[in-house]
Amino acid sequence: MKGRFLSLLVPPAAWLVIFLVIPTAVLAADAFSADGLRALTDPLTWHLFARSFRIALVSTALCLAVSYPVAYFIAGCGPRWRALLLFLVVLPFWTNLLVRTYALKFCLDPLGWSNCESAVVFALVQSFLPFMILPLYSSIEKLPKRLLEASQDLGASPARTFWSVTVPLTLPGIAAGCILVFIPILGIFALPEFISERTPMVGSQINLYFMKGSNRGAGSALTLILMVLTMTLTGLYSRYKKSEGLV
Amino acid sequence: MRKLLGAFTALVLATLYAPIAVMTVFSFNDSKYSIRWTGFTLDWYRKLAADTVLHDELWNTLRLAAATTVLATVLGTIAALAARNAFRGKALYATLVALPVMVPDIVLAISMRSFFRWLDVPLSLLTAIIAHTTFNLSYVAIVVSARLQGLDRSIELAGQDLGASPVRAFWKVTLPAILPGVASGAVLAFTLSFDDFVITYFTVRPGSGTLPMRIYSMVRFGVTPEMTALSTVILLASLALIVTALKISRVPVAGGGR
Amino acid sequence: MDEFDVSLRGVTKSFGGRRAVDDVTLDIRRGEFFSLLGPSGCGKTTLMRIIAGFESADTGSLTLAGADMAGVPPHRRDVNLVFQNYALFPHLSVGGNVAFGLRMAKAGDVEARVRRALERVNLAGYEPRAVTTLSGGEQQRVALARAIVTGPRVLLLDEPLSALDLKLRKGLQAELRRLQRELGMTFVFVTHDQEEALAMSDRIAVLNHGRVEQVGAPEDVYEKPATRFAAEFVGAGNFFEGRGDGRTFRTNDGLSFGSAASGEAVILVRPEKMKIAPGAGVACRVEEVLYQGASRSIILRAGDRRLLVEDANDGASSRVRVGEATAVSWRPEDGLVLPR
Repeated sequence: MKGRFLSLLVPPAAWLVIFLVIPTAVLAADAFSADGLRALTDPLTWHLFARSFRIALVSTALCLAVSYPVAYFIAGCGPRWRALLLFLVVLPFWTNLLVRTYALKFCLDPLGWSNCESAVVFALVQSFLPFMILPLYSSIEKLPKRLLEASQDLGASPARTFWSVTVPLTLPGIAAGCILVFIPILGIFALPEFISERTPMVGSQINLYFMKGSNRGAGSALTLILMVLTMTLTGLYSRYKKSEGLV
Repeated sequence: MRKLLGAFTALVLATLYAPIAVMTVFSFNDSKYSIRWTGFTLDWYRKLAADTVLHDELWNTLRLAAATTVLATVLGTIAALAARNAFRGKALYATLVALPVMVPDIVLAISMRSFFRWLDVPLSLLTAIIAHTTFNLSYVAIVVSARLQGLDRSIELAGQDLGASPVRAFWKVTLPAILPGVASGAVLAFTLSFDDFVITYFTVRPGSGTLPMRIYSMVRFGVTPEMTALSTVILLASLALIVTALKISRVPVAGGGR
Repeated sequence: MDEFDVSLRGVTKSFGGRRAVDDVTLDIRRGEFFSLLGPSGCGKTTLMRIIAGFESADTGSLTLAGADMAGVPPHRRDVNLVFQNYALFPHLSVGGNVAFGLRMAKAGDVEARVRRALERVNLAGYEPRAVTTLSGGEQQRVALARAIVTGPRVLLLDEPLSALDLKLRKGLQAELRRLQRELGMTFVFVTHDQEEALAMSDRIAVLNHGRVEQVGAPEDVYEKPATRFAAEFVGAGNFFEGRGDGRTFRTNDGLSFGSAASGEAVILVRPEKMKIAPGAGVACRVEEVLYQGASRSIILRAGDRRLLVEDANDGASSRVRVGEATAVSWRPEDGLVLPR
């Protein structure tokens, strides 16, 4: 039995070692080439990362602000409405991001809202709503109603109950949603290019280095930084989840 | 208060669907330069139907998605099953399996591209399939793991108690029980592959493109009316696919994760 | 009017066509330990939620200490609720939970008041503990401390002891009673356990299908039940339907015994009021003897019916054996005539 079980482990592990671990090593090697090291000290690189970070932060915060009321509303609906609304929220997720971005661009261009950072942020917030709404909804839905009643019974107004009880207890959902949104946005590539050519992000720069500039070293360096950054964040999030004991 | 929240939700959903609706409507617009409505036409759809390169790209996309779905579902399910028991190095194993989901897809794309270049392997649909399988494996593993967690292991023991050997108990009891989860994972993998742009873009031969790549180049190099028609077709196809998937397998829509 | 902390007048509440509370009128005195007693679905929980403010009555009025509560939300009522499954905040410590109400009211001297409340419920020093590490009984007491620390007018307790095992329950019953007397607070206690209600209350309201069957002190409800339901629900009993002529009562199934009742009536005889002794009385045969330590429950068969007798295990009563033929008798005044 043990032998059979161990043999189960091998295929996926082998695949991942060959096609994940080794490529990462190759990436690191490329990143530490002359080109790569030059890119590391290039102020443009850090300028790009700062901008990407900023856009990701703002987009995530706005996405949270928009998603929470929606998730809260859906959680308070009856089962039929809930199923329908969740379906409507998730449906865009199953369709092509490029197509959706194009549709958005189609509408924003005639309004003159393009080629600026705010348009990119708007597009990002809109595109990632399902990723934020679902974990939020899941967390809010699990909240025992009795706790909200207990809070009000003890003198907390509905507003204070929201901030003192609901928000702290839905923090796991908030954290999960933020991670699901922040990390992809950090490395996003096609969407910002569509909406605004004047706001390049890390992703488009990597594309430039590889496809246009044939600067493999620089491209790899940027990719490596991105990888280290996002893995650190995910690591911190995992540590947070463990400490919470999954409340 | 709920009325306010309800109105807000309606507003958000409207902004979510409005662009799609507008674009769909304009795909029938008889004008090359969008904005003003000049008349109903199916011209752009006809152009699409006549575009043989597009058909090749569609075929490529389907082949890519199908191949990677099969591979990823098998590997991902095995990974999830193996991770049920405790063993030395389980934490490392779990991290490895979760890795593709922890980083933006461009990181995976570049890593794979560099890997193939280092091995002097020319980029093709095959290299794209390998790349896709790597990240889809993770998603399938996550979905099946979730399903496994909710599974009561005592049913396997019950199966054995009633006379099935451990292997038979697995085939006749465990596997059927997790099949919905495996199906979910497969559908997820197919969709992610079909819609994927970034990873495909960096790991495929420039000539053998996929549908998402076509969309990308069409938008980057000028908005043409065929785009709206193509987008509408893709949207409607996705819709049809999801609804069918829901109807036949009772797949929970909200269990996809990413 | 000022002696009543809670007054309900003609309160009705329906859920989707079903009357959960049906025209209830009640007055609860200040400093009383008042129980709402009834089977599940009788409306006691709904009534409690109406008093707390989580439901609003369809008709009728509710006044707390003379103030009309129509339109007043729960967080502005001087009523605190101890929830059935405690509803402790998992993200706060024991101290944080107990302090919650004080912080909402921006009260002063929080630490000292929390400490005193915890001392009262025998949980001194528990402030830093996490609520998830507590046993059921301890969680119960934290919920209690949290509810009393703000010194509300009325305390509502929703079946607080139902999740605890028997020994713990009996112990906490006494503690709750002592606490209530010390605080002088009005307690409204919701329960389906009639023994509990009898043991702890100053007065009991027996509820059934949303209506009040009887209100009174425990002795009154037990010894002088006002309705058949109250008689059946509170305590055990032997019920005889039949006709009396002022001296003898003849039941519909052919038994007869002495009674002052006349005309058609239902007579209730409590099991502890019956005596078993061969000879005079209703002839019967011993079917089952259930030993319970402090007493014996004896089931006898008389004709088509079964009789239940409670015999104290005080050594004085005769030891009956299963299968024995004997008779039961009681004082005629112990046969309670119930209204039809």
